[in-house]
Amino acid sequence: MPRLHTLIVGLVLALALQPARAQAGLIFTPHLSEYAVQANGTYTETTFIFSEIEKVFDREGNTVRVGVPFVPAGASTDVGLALFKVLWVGNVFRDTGIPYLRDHSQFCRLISGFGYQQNTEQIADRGRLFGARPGSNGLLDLYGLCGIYSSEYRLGPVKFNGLFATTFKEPLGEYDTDAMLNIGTNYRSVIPQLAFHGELFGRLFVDATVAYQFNGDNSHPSFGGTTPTRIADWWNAEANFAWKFSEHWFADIGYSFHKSVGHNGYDQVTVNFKDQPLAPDTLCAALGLGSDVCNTPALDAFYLAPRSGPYEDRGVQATLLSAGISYVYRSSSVLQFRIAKPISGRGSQIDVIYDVCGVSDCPGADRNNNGTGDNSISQLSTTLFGVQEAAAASASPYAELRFVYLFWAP
Amino acid sequence: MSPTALRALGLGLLLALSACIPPRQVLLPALGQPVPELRDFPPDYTPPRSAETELPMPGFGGGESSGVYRTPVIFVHGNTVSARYWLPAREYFLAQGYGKDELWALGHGWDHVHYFDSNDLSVASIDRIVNSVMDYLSKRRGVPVRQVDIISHSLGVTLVRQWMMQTNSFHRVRNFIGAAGGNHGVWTASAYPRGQQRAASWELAPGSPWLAQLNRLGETPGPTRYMTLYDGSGWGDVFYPKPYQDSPALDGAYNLAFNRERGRWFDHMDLPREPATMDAMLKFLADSGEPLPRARAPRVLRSGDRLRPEPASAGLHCAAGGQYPQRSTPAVQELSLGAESPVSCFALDPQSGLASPLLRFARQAGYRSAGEPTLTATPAGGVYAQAQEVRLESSDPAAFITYTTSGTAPASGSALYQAGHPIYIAAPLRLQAVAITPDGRQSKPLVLDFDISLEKEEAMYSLERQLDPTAPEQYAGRRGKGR
Repeated sequence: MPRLHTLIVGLVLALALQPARAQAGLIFTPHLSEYAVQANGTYTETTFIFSEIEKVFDREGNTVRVGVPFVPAGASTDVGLALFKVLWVGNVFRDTGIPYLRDHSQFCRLISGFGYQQNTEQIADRGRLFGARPGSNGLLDLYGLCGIYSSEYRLGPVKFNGLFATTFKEPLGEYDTDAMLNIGTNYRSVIPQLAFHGELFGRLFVDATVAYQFNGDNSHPSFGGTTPTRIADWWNAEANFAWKFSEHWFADIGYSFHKSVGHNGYDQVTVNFKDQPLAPDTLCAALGLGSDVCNTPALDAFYLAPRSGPYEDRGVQATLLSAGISYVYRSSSVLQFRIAKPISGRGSQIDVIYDVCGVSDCPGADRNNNGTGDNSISQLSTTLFGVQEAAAASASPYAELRFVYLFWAP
Repeated sequence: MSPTALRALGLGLLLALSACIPPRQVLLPALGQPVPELRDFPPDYTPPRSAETELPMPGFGGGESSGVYRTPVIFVHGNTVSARYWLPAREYFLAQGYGKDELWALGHGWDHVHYFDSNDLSVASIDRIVNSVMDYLSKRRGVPVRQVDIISHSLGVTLVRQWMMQTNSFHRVRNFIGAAGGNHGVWTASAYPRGQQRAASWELAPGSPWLAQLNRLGETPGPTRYMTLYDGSGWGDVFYPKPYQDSPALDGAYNLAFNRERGRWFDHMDLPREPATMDAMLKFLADSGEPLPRARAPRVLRSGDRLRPEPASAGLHCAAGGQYPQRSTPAVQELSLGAESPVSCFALDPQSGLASPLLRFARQAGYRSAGEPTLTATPAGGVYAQAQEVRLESSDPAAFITYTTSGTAPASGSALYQAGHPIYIAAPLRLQAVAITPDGRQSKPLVLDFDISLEKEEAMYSLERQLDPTAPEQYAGRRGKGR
């Protein structure tokens, strides 16, 4: 069966996993404690994330180079994100008669920012064949969450607490359905989350969380419908282990797991060559196939038309390892540098049916009621990568630089 | 403007607003709602007003008696929290046999992270708290309550020590327990701070002049028994990492580095509220006898250059050269004043458990009066953007100088000024000083108001003045509360 290869257009994993994990905590001084009961106050955080995505995971869990074989190895999608976060911790119910709430601090958080993504030249040129714009910049989604800390408990040398939070994600930026890349998403999410913080002898800090992300639908997918329209829900889990060398220096390693529940659905696939008809050589070269269709002497041009769906992928999954160091300045500032490396994953791929026609009205009306347009002379099934954060899984590392500042601290 | 730009603008405003949500103390009154507060007092007790907020202090205290006479315990909280911090301690002490009327905690500060408390600015509040509790219990019990036990935490430790020194109240504190106090500095406090936390940072920066004047003449003055309780490991308490792990210890106190010695790791906020540490505190309190409620307090009597205690059962604890005598200073029945002046003394009666206030004396023999003593100060009071070091000079070189920054009138037992060690004024305060001659005459009090103002600082470096240095400084000389 002939195969149609198309572009791999993945929104970076960094974007997929950073805000979406709905981290309720915030690293500040001096405990490197994402989910620890934080002191009351207002915290701000600025995070810069950089990645050069050269590889992504396919649905089998293999890593493949972006764009290969249609573009030379080394092509990439470059990403820069700036996240801004404000965290408030306090207790609006303190000294009231409301049980539990009066004794347990609450927190709320807003996260958003902006970013850019840009494909290298070969990918951009390739994308233009499909009528897609090669890069994007703009606003990230807006994440708002509120939650409550549990009590703190001691068990021998261990001190621990939990928290519960729920995050709401609202698309904020302009979503470009013609773009290969988008900074923001085009669907809402609700993410309840449980988290745990533990300390061992005041030296080892463990933070872990599990979150279930309910995702809404994307009624206007981008890049020819290769972003899912029915977004699968996700499980997110992460654990972070930090070691305190001194009040100034911390090192941490982390593990992050992200997996869809069920399948992503695609209902509006339209991705196609912008300029048609296609000459046999062009078609066969573009598609990288040697079909008999290409050698039909009676036809000197072809038209392709995708069937819009529905299609389903096999779900997505990503696992990361991270390592970082933090420097704490007094009680007000933290500077952190972290590298995250995907160690396994599974990206979204779907097998899309294309009708091949000899006329522009492809596939034409189905007057014979056989499920195929009358003008279709053949069908091709081709495997497309799903794109953007709900579907793509980057296999390339990313770097994160984070600065945390606590207002009113010395 | 494009939709994206509008969204960006909206997002920016949302983030900015979310960082500026007014505190509950501001928001609720603006909405016509009362601010919930902890107020667990008997109906006949009126809590004093905070010197910082000028509002009645929240807290707890009073109620059922345990049925025995016991020195009341006053809990003093640290920075940016309030009396509720001590609720777990109250529960534990009640379970150990204390009565509600013996356990008190009042919120002396702002109770808000935006407004840092300061040692100097809260001294007057501690004075009001102790006076109020003593007065209330004296009326309720029908016998005078002349001593309290104080358990303090964090900034409350240095605060209470400064209160005892500034108001000469050592004799009123039977036991003092300081948990995790920055007695020798807190590493997070900067000597060059900005913002509302300036005063506390100036005070508690390691090596600060403020700490030097608190510690220089003795870290455990007077008849008070001192205990400190702290981490000591350098890991448990975030404010005292190595090499500051022993900052909370006081020379002459029973210093219990709990985590280091007991293999625990209670953190800064946990430390004084855990059963294990509270047991240690209760044991320390139980080791001192209760004062006799109807006994007369001892006095220090002077006859020429000789001092003796009254009654005879009391001992005289004295130290020369300006140093503070301590409870452990060997007691004597009589003392001849020597050339090393001034001598600081208190009388402690082991039978009654009561002590006299601290007093200072200088030898009269050979003294020739230089006339009526007067005092001068450099710099003079006024509005300053930064902390000031004030030098005092007496017209009579034989006179010694004492001062207060607590609003109380200075006397011989007040904080001692020493040449070469200027008074460090880190907060808006009233400095009062007197010179006291060897024959006991006092100068007219020197009263100086210092306005160490953040508004002054901000007015100096406003954006307008940075663009145009000739622009007038917009500061009316009225410091905002909490700044």
